Amino acid sequence: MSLIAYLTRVHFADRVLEDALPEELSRLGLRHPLILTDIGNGESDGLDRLQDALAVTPEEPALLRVAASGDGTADLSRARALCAETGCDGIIGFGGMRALDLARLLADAQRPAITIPTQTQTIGLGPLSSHVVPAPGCRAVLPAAVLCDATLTLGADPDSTATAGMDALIHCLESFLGTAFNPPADGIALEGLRRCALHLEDAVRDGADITARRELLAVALNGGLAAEKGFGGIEAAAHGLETLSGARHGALHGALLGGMLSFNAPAVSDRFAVIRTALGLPARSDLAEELAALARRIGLPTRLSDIGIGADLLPAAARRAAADPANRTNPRLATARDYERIMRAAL
Amino acid sequence: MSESLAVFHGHFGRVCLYDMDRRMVPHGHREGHLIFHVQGPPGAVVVNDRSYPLSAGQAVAVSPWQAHYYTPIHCEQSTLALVLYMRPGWFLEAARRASASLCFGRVGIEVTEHLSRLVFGTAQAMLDTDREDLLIEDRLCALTQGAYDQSWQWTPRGTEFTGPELPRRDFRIRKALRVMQQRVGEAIGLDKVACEVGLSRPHFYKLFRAQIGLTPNLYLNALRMERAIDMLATSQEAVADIGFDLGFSSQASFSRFFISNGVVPPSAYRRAVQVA
Repeated sequence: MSLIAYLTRVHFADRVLEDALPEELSRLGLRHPLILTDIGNGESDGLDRLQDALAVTPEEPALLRVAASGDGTADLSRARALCAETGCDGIIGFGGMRALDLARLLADAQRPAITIPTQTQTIGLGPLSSHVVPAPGCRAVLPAAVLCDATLTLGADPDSTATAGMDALIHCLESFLGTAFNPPADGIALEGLRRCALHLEDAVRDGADITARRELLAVALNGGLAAEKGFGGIEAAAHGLETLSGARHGALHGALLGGMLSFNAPAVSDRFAVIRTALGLPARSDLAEELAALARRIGLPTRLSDIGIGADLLPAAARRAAADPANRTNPRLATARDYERIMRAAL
Repeated sequence: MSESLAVFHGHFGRVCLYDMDRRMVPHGHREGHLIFHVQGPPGAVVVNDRSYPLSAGQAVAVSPWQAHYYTPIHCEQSTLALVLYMRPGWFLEAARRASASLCFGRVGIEVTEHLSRLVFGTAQAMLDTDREDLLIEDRLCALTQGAYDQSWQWTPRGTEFTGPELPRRDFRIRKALRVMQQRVGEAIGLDKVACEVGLSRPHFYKLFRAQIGLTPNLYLNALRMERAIDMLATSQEAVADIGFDLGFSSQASFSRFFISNGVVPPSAYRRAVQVA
């Protein structure tokens, strides 16, 4: 079964783009969609495949390229203006985290979004991860359909596969540790962790391994579905530091997870045993140490100073972390001072 | 004259029970296509210029946009066949595999006991007009899945299959597809389409065939058949008017076109069709 109707419609199959996109456009009655992408010119043949699959629309849809990182607020305004100018009736977010986030911010009840990830990080569900300041009252909507096609994610370099994979793993981890009562989300998160432990290193080693790619996309899907419970302190701290340092989202998780897990342990350490089992770790192993070792094996830094983050950034980053929406669902109340202490220990 | 004994339309696509005694013209369509022999002498289906038997033990699977046609072997007696046109979008939801697309691994399908039971069960239920067949979609799904899985067994790509290798399309071909789709009702000349997208006629034909799998003529015929079938099944419009709407100058020319591409006359198709 490739249709999963938990939260929204999710098509998950290799080469699903060509069959599912015309189907979803017709179901939603979209004739003039706007494509938002953060894929650079000539970076991937995925955009050609997307244009081919869109040959059912009366005209070639308008396409807006947005930056994959940095402050996305200006891109959101540009997209909004283009939307009004072209009279588009739907948004297709195609690419990485930023494209999918902006598509969800631009969409509304009259103008649904379809998200199509080309990275194994996020599929366009759950809290936004990009640095974008939306207009007051503007909220990210749930995509009307998500198309997960692992063949679109082939060929990513080891570095981006590692950051994407670690980010998806942390989405599952923090969703599971969230204290909201949501048994299906817990189960989904654990299954994501299990798959990630089995396939992340293979995917980093070989960008053309379709099985590993498919599994990591499944982890990203599980992370998105489980994110109904919200994220936690690792995401919050990472957002704060990334905004100020320009680091790629996911690159700092390996350095931050040890301190944050220790901080949260008094509230949720009883859940660590279940996580160890899902990850296939020995019963008495130290979860934080094992995850840091995994980060090291896939080439991610385990100290913030490894990628040039200095102590001067920490107070402002900690304040941002404390104000981040992900902090609201952290199992323990964490203040800016707590974040600064955790970040300092990770330098 | 070939006859349609029963036609069902549904979310799955179309399924037809045809009594066939005449050769069709080469054609293609966007659906995945399965043809099963039910009764009568064997026939043959020519797919991409190669002939495949259609008999009690042998069925034929045609992938979307593959050129093909039916040809009888014994012209004095007709062959009863169960013909499936499955929508790839439906198969996507119904299939059990993590790979999409109704692209078959090979054309020849061995009709196993399991498939045979499903074929006869479907044919019988279609002929029994007094009873609504609640299981039709399940049976069609099982038939399609069974044939699909078998078509990929023992092929070099086998379980590693992740969908067809689609050629990267030229933007001018993409534009041509749009023009043809939008103006299927007009008597549109393909020379004009070639000119509109900025290609010479020979280059347009060569590129189109290489990238889509069919010539532009056959592609346009497929679009016309789609529109005709939809209008016959869902509208009250007279057959002649449907023909005129699709750019045919007379009902006779529309009927000739419909028979050679779709087995039976349009009026017979309309009489037989039931929307499931």
